[in-house]
Amino acid sequence: MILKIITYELRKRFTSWITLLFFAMLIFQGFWYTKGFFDYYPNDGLLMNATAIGYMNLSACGMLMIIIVAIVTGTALHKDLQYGTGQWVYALPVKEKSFYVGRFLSSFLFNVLLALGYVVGIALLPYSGIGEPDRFGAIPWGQILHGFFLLTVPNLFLLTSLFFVALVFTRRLAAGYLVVFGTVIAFLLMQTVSEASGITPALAIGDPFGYVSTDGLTGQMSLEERNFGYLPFTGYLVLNRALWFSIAIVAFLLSYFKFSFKSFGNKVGSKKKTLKDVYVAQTESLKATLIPKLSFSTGDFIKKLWTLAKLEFQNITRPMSFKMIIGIIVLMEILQSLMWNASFYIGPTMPLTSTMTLFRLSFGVFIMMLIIIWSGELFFKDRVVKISAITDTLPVPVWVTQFSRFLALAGMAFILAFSFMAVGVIVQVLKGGASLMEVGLFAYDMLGYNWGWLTYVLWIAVVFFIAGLTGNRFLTHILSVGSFLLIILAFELGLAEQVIFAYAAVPGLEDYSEISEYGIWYTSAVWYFLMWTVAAITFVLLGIYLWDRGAGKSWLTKLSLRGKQLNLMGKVGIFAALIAFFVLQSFIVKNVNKKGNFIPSATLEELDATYERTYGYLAERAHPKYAHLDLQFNFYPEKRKASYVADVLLINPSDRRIDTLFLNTKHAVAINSVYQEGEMLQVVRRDSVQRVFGFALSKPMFPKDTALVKLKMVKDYKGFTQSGADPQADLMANGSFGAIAEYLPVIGYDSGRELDENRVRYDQGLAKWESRYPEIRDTKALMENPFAPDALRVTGSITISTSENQVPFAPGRLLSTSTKKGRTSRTYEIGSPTYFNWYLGSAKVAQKTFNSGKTGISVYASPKHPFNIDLYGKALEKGIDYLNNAFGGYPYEEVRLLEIPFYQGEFFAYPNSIAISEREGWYADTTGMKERAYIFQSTVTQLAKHWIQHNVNIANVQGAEMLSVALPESIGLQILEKEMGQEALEQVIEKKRDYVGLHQANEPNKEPPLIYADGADYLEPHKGAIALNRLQNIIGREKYNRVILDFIQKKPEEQKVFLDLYQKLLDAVPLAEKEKVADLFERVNIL
Amino acid sequence: MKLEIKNLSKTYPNGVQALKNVSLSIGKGMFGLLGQNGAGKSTLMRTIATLQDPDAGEIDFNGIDVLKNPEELRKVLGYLPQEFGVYPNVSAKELLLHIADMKGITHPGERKDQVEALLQRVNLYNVKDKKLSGYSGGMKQRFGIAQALLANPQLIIVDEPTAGLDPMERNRFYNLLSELGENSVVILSTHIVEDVSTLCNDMAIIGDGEVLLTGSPSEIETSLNGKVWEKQIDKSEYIGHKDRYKVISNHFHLGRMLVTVVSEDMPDSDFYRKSPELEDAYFNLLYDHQKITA
Repeated sequence: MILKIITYELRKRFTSWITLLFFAMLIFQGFWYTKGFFDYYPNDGLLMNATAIGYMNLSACGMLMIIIVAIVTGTALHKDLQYGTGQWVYALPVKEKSFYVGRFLSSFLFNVLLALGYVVGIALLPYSGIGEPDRFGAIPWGQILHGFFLLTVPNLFLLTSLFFVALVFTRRLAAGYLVVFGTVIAFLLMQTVSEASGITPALAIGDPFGYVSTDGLTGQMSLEERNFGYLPFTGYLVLNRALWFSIAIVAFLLSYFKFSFKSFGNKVGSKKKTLKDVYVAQTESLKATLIPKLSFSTGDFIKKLWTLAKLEFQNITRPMSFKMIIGIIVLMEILQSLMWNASFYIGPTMPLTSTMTLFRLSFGVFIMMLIIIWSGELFFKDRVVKISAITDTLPVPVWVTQFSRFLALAGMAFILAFSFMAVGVIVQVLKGGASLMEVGLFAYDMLGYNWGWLTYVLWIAVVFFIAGLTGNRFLTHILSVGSFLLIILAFELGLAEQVIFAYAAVPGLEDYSEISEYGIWYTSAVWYFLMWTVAAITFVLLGIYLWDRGAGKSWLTKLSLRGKQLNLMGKVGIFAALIAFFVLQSFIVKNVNKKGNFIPSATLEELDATYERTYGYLAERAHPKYAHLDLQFNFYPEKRKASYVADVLLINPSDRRIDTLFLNTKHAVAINSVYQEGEMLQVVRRDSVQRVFGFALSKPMFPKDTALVKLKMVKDYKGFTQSGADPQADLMANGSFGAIAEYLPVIGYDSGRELDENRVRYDQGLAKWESRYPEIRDTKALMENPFAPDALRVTGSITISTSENQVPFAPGRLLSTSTKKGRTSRTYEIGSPTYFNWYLGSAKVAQKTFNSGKTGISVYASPKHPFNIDLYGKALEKGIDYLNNAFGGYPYEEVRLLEIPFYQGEFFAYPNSIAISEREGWYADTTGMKERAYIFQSTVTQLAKHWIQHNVNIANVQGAEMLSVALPESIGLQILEKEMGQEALEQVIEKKRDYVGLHQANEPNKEPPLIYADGADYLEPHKGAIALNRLQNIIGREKYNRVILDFIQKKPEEQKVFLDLYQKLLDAVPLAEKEKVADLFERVNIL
Repeated sequence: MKLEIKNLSKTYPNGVQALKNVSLSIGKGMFGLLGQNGAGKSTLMRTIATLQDPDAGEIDFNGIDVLKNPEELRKVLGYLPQEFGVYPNVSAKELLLHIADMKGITHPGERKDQVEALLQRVNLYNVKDKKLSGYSGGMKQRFGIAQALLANPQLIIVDEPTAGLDPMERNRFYNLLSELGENSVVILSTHIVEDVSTLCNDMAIIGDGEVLLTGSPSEIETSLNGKVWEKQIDKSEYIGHKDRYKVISNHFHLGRMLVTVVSEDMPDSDFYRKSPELEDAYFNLLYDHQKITA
């Protein structure tokens, strides 16, 4: 019997054209996902059909597969309810349990057979034309099938079991859809969290698809294993598979025992008792009652629109199911808001409003899908309950009936959004954050267009349109949810990056800064929202126009301009809204793209490659270098503008004559004029696309010559930008912070623009790099410093002004402060030569001062973040004390610590100044030692950087950042151990180890040994610091410090290379430990 | 008050020609539309009720061009479809009030009065506040009748209205319809011949999308006067009779088969003359039509 059912069901399904379509879609998904995962791993040596990619693909299942599974799984059982065939099928002489098992297995096997399309897609990618032939190895059939049976098949069994148990218990397909989508949400959540915070046992085991544990295992594989190896079935993956297979079995057994023809065959809701029909004799004639006055004025229709909307709103919100769903979501929000850490790296945070509104993003996909499905259901409600044959003949225009539903759904969405906001407010108060509450931010995020209520409304409009277009409830659900997920995935996988393609999204919604707030994205968001609003108006009008009243119409009739569901005004409205949409789109493209505020990554890579090809020759030529700078700098934060005049002393350190001054500027920078010794220089080369300008020097610079050059410049951002790599954080309404090279030109060849990922270099036809830094014996690089190859050590003065309510920041000793004519000015002096790693900034801040010996300490933080200022102040005091005692003295008598927006990076140490990102501790909850230790160590490390920068001439070659970053980090660890103890040290080291684990696998090029470290995020500050700490433990702290001091103090004028320091440190290592140390520094290993 | 249908044709995308050049003129009173399942009755009803567009033809009701101005017709239309559902979570009264509002009864008092009166008439008053999900099939059908009668419609279309009604309710519904037919055009679509003969003063028979015959039931009945014969036979004799005579119908009576034959003369001595009924005329017509189309 079971076999007969399976054979019948499979034969029937595989003779349907839709199955073929699904199969083709899954082949496409195989191509699509493999390309996506390949891009996700930037490693250059990775094959596009690497087995690790295949395993990741097969564990993720893929959105198309999940949607298809959701569509096809339940129908095997539910069709008997849907078509009423259960009335006779269930009366056939079949055993109900065998029948159930047959239907279950047929569904499961159908899913498995369909999923083979995915396997085919993954396997046949080399023949798809995506990627050059040398990107592929032989098709790894064995590994693909291994992954299929280890990951995909159990996942399909889980989804089938969950769908069936939901269906058997509720007899509603919707319950099955919800369970499947709920499982997907759980998977997405665990995947996202693991990417942000690292793979924890809970995530690896709790992820229903086993993706996180697969990710963990492939992360530990060597490149060779990733390309060709089998996934080891060990560790958390075993537990994960065991747990979820058990859950699937339990779900199946529950449904097996519950299923019976009697209970399942009853119609939904038939448990209710049918009312007793009582006959009451009637004598009254009907005629007397049929004399109402009828009215059909426009005013009446508007009233009806309102009353209908109210009625529909009640229809949605009355059922218990709605209240339960709201309850579950609210519960999830409470849990998240109580436990979520805005910045996983630092840990728990204070109860800020911005952390409360994050819920709308972390659960955004789930909530939006619910709203989309609800919308589809409401638009087709009349057809589902089969009352449309009556309601469609009522003398009410379509715009009244359909638009009332739109309004009801908008109302429902408001209730949802408002509930989230209210829960956020309550949780913030409960966590003691009442005084930190920002009601405006709550309203903007939760009720506005920043993925809040208005975003929901925009998507309801899409469903409205699709419902009208298709006239089919099922198709409406598929197309609406599908288009939503397609957009999400396209952006997640990097297939799309321009917000203009992400319907209803506005720039910056994930990039809130506690200091700069949404910055320029406030403006961007308004324009994008306006554009989406007119698109939504078009959708709504088209939805009304296309809606099938009565039987479905032919496309010709539907699209005929003579259709009467919209009057002339409505039809004109469609065209007007469409025109407005395209006008707004052009306006946005003009402001975002044409003004150069946002360049898609592919274009940017091409542009940079062209720069390297075109101007690479400049690297070989002699150029003058910055030696002294007197800068007059004026910030205009509200205008995102700065104007400045730089008097630069240039020096020709080469042995060649220089006739032309080549200047490279950043976007939005204009050089108004260049003078040499009072004489204006002529432009001899102008490349506005690459922003390279050549000026003929009025007097050639001979070797060792100096020249005084005056630059009059302005930086002025025009238009606005979208989310992406460059938030234009150097000129913001509040919290501007930018490197000096963001404002002043780079002289000669700007090596900072070179593409540093080998895969991208290969794609752009450039030679691959062996290392991101020049080789250790590169004589030219040995003479440069890694901070600014176009500058020597620089002295100077900076007079900097900004708006009256902000404080202007610059490197150097603060000489004076003044406020006049609505402007605050400060003058800074850099007396002794320093690296040209300077930064300028302007922000509204609160100041607190501390002292350590002869060094004055000022901490400048956002007035909203007073929480940990003392912690920072004390760390600086203790750090300076330590450096004074152990390393011969901290170099500055004055040091400023600034809190900056998170956009630019985490930590900056430059003359007399330290800047630390807001996300690295300023609003951390420092109740726990882990957070205090992290703040302490990261702060004192910046002081150690000051000490190194002041005392060491670092050569711009491999290992440079071992000296400029890893060494200060290890000193920071020393100070931490001394001040906070061994436990604090171990906690910080563990954080660093986690960071290495998370990022080492994504090394885009080839990981070098630490002695040749070349500037990867995970290398010097984390792996390098841990290695140096271990080395220090082997030879002892005092000896370690002495070797460092000796190295630095011996011939201090020389350019230093880390390899030399390493040799000296190695000399101090006992013989028995040398091999261990060599392993750490001379070979690539996993910590 | 007149409904004029001219040359209405409709072919579905699957090639089925549901209406073939249908023309009808229907005046005040009850008009029966009789036809087999699949004859095109419901397509015609839905087209008149503005739920479907024909490929060709015209429909005019009291000067309203129904195809061009469907919204005007909807103001005077009461429609009870063959199959319909209800919102499960609302009461009969709530839903009727809502429909009354949609039908243009803007005054709340009038709306309430009419809804309550109709609830009385269709015998649902006692359960008016109960949710519709609890209604039996017959109660739902009566609810459907009530909604169709809201707002004093001038054109009432009822498609297979007595399905699911018990004999008592069916009678009550007949009475109600006859009463309405005094002031409006009522089109009753059915395949139950008795419904038409009982109620309608005018009728049409439709088959394969074509109007096969129009007239009053009595006229159609009398057209076969003296030509209808009946005979009791053994079941095994049926094929022979079918080959020899024009057997328009057969049925069983007390375990024996009765065949009805149309013939100008007595077919054989065992036949006896039968007074023609509308059903005989209907079957005769279908017989002729099938012969032609075969």
